[in-house]
Amino acid sequence: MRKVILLLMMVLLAIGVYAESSKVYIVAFSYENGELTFDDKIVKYGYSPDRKLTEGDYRGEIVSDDSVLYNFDFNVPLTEFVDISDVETGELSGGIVKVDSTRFALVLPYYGEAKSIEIYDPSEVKVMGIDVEEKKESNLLLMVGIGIVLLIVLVLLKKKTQRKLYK
Amino acid sequence: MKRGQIGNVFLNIIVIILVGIILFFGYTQISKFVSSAKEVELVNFNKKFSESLERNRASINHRAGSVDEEVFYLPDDVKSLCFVDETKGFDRLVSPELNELMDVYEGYTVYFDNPDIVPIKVDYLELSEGNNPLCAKVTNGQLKLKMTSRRGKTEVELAELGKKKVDCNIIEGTTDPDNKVDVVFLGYGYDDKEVFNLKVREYIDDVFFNFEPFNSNRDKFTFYFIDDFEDLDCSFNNWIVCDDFKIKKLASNCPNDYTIVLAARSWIADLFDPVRSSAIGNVEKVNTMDNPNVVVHEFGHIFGGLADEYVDDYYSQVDFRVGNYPNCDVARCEKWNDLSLECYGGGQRGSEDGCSLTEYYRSTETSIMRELDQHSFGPVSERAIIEKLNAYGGGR
Repeated sequence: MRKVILLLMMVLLAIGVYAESSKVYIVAFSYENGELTFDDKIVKYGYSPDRKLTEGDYRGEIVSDDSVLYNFDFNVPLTEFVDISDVETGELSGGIVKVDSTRFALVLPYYGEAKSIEIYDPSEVKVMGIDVEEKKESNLLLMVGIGIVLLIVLVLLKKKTQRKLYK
Repeated sequence: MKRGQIGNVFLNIIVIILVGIILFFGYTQISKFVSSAKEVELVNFNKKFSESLERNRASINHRAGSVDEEVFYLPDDVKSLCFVDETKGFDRLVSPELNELMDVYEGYTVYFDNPDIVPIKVDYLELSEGNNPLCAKVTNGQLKLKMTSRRGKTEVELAELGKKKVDCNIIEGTTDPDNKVDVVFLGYGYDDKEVFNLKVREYIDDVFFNFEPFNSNRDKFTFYFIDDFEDLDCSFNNWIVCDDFKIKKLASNCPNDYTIVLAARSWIADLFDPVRSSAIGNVEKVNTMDNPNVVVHEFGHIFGGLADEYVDDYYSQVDFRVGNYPNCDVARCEKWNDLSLECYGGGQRGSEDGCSLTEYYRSTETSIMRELDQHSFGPVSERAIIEKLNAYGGGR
């Protein structure tokens, strides 16, 4: 029996370790009036860019309780090259468009032990910490629900008892 | 409080606790019941599928090559499944989710998208070469399969091709995300996978690798495409604007250092309302009605960090910093002094003669960053691109 439990534990451990290599975070941000805000995040199976050539004014860290797991730089994409060509001559026109507000997303590697994704602005001031800690799902919600119902009923009962006493 | 009243309160509390316990165990039991119903469905699927494989394999009574189509039923929460043939070459790109399951559950043949469902092992299953794994979408708990008799085995294919689920397809190069520049093509406005596939091939073979330094560094690139045309929420308004979150979500199914969105347009629509191709961050969005070389021009922006070598008023409205771009310079062109090249631009031959702005200079009279009919970046831009390519090991 012990061997079976040990084997099961090893399998579960293997799941936990391997998951990191094939999952990613996709984190959505908004930028408006010079302020960067966090919109949404998902965890999915996939690949993140190697970011070998990525430079940027903003800096990010994926951190666990006691260490930095991954560092990355990024720019808020406020400039877009837009090009159109003349069908006859191939001559280009268009140029660059600069916007004040935008919505964009980053694909980042997933770490099972990660606690948060911390973002620093160009002056190295921390502008946000995005909670990415894995929450244990269980019947907790149900238990909390039952607890709340019990509490409400208890309060009602107490009130009823008190009302009877006053009468 | 009287003794009787205290007793009432305690009685009520006990009742409430009992109700709570009943609710909790009721919920648990119902969950178990639903789960066991699913288990029964899975057992039935396993049984029916195994029997079909055994029945359809070629034998004395069953001629090789004969085909049968069968519908199999699965629990509603199974949205997709994958078949694996361990005797054939396996494509790890098809589903990262499956790769993980296979590392946990070795030696199985049918894997489900729900990781809580233990995969199953069946005999006599065969998949055709290049079709392993075979992943399929399950609609309304049903999956129609084509079973073809083979020697001692049954080859399984999808009866409806549209149900095939492939997260990522490789089109050029080999998978080695750490050492390759990974470029993934996405489609917008396509409904035919074959048309999209051909278009991607055209852009890679007839356009991208017609340019240096890309052609001589072919081994440093891997191109992928995703032909699951999810809505990228694109709109055509002067230029192509798409939902970046949706782009990144879809592109992340493949290694994705750079993403190219091909936006399909009809030539009539483009004639009346021409739309610009564009480049932002590590994403380029291409109007397929534009000159095909635009793919390379935009890649020059996102990969090479190159500026436009044509002049446009837009640049005077933004904070254009010539120092950020390797292919434009101020007078005397010190950036490419070592290459003994000319300095073109600076308004010497009119207001259009510059590099993004009239006051700046470029190293060649013209290039792909100035005109789409050109087939060269010019030595300065090539050098800048090669420097970036050096970050990648490449190799076959």
